[in-house]
Amino acid sequence: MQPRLTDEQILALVPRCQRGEPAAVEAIYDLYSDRLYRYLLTRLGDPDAAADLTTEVFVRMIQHIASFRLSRKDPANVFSGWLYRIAANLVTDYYRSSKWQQVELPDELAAPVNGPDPYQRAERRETAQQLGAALNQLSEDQRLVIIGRFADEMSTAEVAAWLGKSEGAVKSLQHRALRTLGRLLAPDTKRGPAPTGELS
Amino acid sequence: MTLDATLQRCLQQIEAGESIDACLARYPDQAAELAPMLAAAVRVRAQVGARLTETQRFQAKAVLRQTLAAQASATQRKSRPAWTLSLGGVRRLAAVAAIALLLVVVLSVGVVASSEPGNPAYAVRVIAERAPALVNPNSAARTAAELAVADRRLADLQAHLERAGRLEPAALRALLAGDEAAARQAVRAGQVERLRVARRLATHARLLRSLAGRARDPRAAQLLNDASRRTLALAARLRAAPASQSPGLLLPTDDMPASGQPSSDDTVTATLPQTTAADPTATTMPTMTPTPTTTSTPTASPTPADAQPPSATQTAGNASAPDAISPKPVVEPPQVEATVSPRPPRPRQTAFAQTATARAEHVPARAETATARAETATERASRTPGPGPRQTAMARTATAMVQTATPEPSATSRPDLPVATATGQAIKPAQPPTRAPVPPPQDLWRPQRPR
Repeated sequence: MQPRLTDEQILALVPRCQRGEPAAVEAIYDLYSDRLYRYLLTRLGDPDAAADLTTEVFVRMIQHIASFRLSRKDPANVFSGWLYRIAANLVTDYYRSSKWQQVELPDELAAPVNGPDPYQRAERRETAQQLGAALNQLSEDQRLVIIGRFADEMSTAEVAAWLGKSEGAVKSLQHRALRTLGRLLAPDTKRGPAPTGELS
Repeated sequence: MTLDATLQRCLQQIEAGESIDACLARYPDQAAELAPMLAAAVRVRAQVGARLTETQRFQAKAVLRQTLAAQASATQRKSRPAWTLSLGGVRRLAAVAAIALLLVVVLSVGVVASSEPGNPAYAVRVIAERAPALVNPNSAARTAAELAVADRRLADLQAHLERAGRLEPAALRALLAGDEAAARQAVRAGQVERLRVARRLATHARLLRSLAGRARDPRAAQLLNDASRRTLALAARLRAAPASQSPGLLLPTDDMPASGQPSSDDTVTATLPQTTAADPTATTMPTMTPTPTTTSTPTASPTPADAQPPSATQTAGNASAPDAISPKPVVEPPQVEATVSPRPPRPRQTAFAQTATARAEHVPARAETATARAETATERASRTPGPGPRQTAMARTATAMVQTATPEPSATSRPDLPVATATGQAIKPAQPPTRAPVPPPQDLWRPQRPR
């Protein structure tokens, strides 16, 4: 689990990154790469595509960080939200392109080659497909709340600060998102209709 | 407890390590709703283990370094000073400047070419249209170009006067400058070319006078009249100038710039001849019938034929040739056919004239002496009953003296007409005396027609 970035770290790293210091860029990459990878993996369901888009997120960060204005109020969450918006835009671009239609679904999700047997790998692949399809049925805010709360193990307050919303709003979003996911991932709807949303 | 609160509590318990079934057992009333939600949360949390591999991280960091390097070079190019532009930048800048300059030139040419009198760009148009004529090395071509430009200015002048009722100073200045320049060039040309240019100038003068008559503004009319007189004088001098006349002899000295260019003053008054306009008499005005003087008459012979007074036509014709030397004599055409300027007589002519005058004055004295002697001889002969041989001889001698003293008329002269002396005063011709018998004294000087 990657440690969360504090405001002091962001205030120190972002200016250095704006000056083009490779060390600062790599530090930010180490802190945010896995989170962004999980977010992209849940959105795309393709580990390779998620890894490529993760790298692309930081490339765009380098290209546009000169125009980023660091906020004195809650700078870490503002910067984090900026990175996730880049990732979300890349996912949108990815689905608009024709690449995603040619990509076969992965056999495994971050599992080592010498891990589970083929049966388990196939089951994980199916689970990942179902989860990715269900997450794509959510709204962006609901998706970010679910990912923040259960993938990145953020507290409600942290998610609220990250998304710039109140804790009550985050709880409400989490409640509606889990209800939708529970309905979509229920055993009787396991073979239900293909998820729509961005995929359609 | 609400479902949302129960869900939050169950999630906290699951995060703490409790199972889903244990949570549902605590809240049996809400278990049906909580079960799928908690199952979905657990499935999502199961993805936490997804992480990038070390290979993926290494490859990603390599890509980021390359991106940083490219970004740094791009930043250096952007922060480079303007004077260290790359070749491509210089070319782009030159292309943009050339296009901008071309646009400015095209727009300016369009504005200037379409400018009318009264427009500020009209002065530029006047200069621009005359520029080719100024740099033309061929004298005849330049004369034609200057006259063509002057024609256009005259047309502009007329159009603006009829349309706006005002005089365009730039057009008038350009017209006068063009006429003067054409006259300068024509002086070097042959007689035919000079006369042709003179006719064109006279035409311009007539049109200017016509415009002056139609002008409503008295000041404009005066300026146009002045310009007409000036152009007409220029044409007259061009007609009178000999073929070898240098162009400088046509230059006016007081009212026209030597360069022939209009003055920079915007008012027409500054460029028009002040002396002619204000006081025409200030200019040397020759008389219609110049009074001949002794020294100016080129007659050298005291004979009656040569001593005839010169006619007005002859005087004017003789005086017209050296006239162009004088820079001043500007005359109005209706009053003058040629200008007259006194020239100092040559010494030989003066000596001839003095001799002729003296001889003409001496002839009557000799005639009077001979007459007196003849009278004495006749009186003596009348007192004696018959002339003696000595008296007869004396009478014959006296008659011969009278004949000698009286000048004989030339073959071309008419003895019945008064004879003009060198001074121009007519005297009666002497009567040739009869030889014998001696005529009465009262009939001696009566003019007689030759038989």
